[in-house]
Amino acid sequence: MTRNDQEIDENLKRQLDVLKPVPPRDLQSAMRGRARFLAEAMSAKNVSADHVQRHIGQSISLRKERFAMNMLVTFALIFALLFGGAAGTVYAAQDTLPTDLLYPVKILSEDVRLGLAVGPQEQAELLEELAQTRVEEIVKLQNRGVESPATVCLRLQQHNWQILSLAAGLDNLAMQAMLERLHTRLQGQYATLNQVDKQSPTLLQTRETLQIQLRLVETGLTDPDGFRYLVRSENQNRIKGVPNLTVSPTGPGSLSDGTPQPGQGGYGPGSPSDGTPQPGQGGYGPGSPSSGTPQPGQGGYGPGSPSDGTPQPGQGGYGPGSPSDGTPQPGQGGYGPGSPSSGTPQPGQDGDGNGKGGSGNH
Amino acid sequence: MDNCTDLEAQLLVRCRSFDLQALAEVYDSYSPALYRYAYRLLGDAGLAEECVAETFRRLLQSLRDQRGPKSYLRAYLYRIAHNWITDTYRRKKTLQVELPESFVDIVDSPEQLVDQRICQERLRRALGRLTPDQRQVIVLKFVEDCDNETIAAALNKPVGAVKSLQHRALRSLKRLLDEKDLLR
Repeated sequence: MTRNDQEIDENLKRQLDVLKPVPPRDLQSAMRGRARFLAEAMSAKNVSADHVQRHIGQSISLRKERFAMNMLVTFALIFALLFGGAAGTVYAAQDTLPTDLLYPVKILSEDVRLGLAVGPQEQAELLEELAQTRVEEIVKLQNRGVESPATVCLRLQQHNWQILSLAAGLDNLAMQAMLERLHTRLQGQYATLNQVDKQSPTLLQTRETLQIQLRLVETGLTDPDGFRYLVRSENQNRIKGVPNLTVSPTGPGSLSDGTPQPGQGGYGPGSPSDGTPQPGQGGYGPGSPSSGTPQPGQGGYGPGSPSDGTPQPGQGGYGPGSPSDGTPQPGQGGYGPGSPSSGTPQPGQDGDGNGKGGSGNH
Repeated sequence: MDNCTDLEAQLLVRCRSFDLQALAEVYDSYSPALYRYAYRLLGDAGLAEECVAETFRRLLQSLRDQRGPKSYLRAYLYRIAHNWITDTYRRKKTLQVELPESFVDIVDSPEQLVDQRICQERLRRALGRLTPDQRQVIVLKFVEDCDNETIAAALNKPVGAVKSLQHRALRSLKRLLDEKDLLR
């Protein structure tokens, strides 16, 4: 390879890096995809080997027909699992834990129930119930000496966040009632998880997120408009794939794709190992100017004072922060839009594809 | 055969008998990487999920028909996903540079977001004008950081042929990115 070729390579490699950032995968979509795949696999398992053998060598059209039939069987199975004929399976799945094979059926049935819930009150009640189920799953797993998968903890946080979002859409009176009930629930969840395993990084991060959510609820009870602003901002960040008010559990089972996002915002003390936010990772709360280590429960919202970067507890205001850099420094907790350079999910675009590849298997 | 592909081969044996635990393991191991791969080429979360679903559906179909891979499962899945993406490229020929609705309200720098978006779309458009093999070799090598053996398995070509293909693909991509009217 000539020097010129190598330069082309290096230059192109840099350009191709633009494609590397990928926003975090939507947890619910991923779980639904997994559940569908396993349901389809279950239906495929029922097709006998002899039956398959008879069809080998038959025409493509017959294959397509069989595939279409199997698709029908799959959808029928999913439908049956969820709504009727095999209600026993769905019922049995309700007692499963995340390590069990039927757990995706349980999650899928929960998603369906959520989809069928009418109105914010009914949805919130169901979400409270599901959050309680997640807590119970975590406790049961810990009692068996099994580390809770990050996906379960994320789902717990997601249920609570959905209730917060529902509350933000209500009038003040209804919102306060919903938040008061959620406050009690969150305190219960925190107390339960606090007794389970104090060392687990996943649970530590989950407890931190519960604390953030508790503080949001408290804000909503005293300052409804500020609460709505915070929820709306966070929802926008989530659409952009840069949630600020969630401490993402990591480790086995996490559906986060591990792709570093430039300037990605975050909340909390950063790595559980040292609790120190790093530049570009976002921070929440005042932190201690002497140590740069925010303590859960001490923070206020907001960019803090720009003059010295040392917000005091209870003094933070909520706001967009500085759009110019979006890079909180250690000890300068910031709540805001995150970095403008953060990975943003974009509608699908594509090229005009003049290649010759075909579909299917080769 | 190294340890990794050996483990894959054992996993595939269990998958062939529709061991649900093994299939779940395959899904959990490979779906995140396939999602990223699809998202990078398509730039759309919904389409990326669709690609992952279709890839695993085709894997099941091939297992049911007693076809499919006996090793190099990862490469095989990349190949199915890539074929699906190529078909999607063919179906959608128009480039729509749109901003999501949520963009209207955001307060951080729209210029930077637009610049980043344009860079990504230029690359996707240029990649879309390569042949499918060239596109796949570029993305697997330089974006997904796959080794030549995996790429060779994904393309069903010898490693030597992959290296030549990579050389030609880089030259073509460079030429395409130099075109001023790439986004028109």
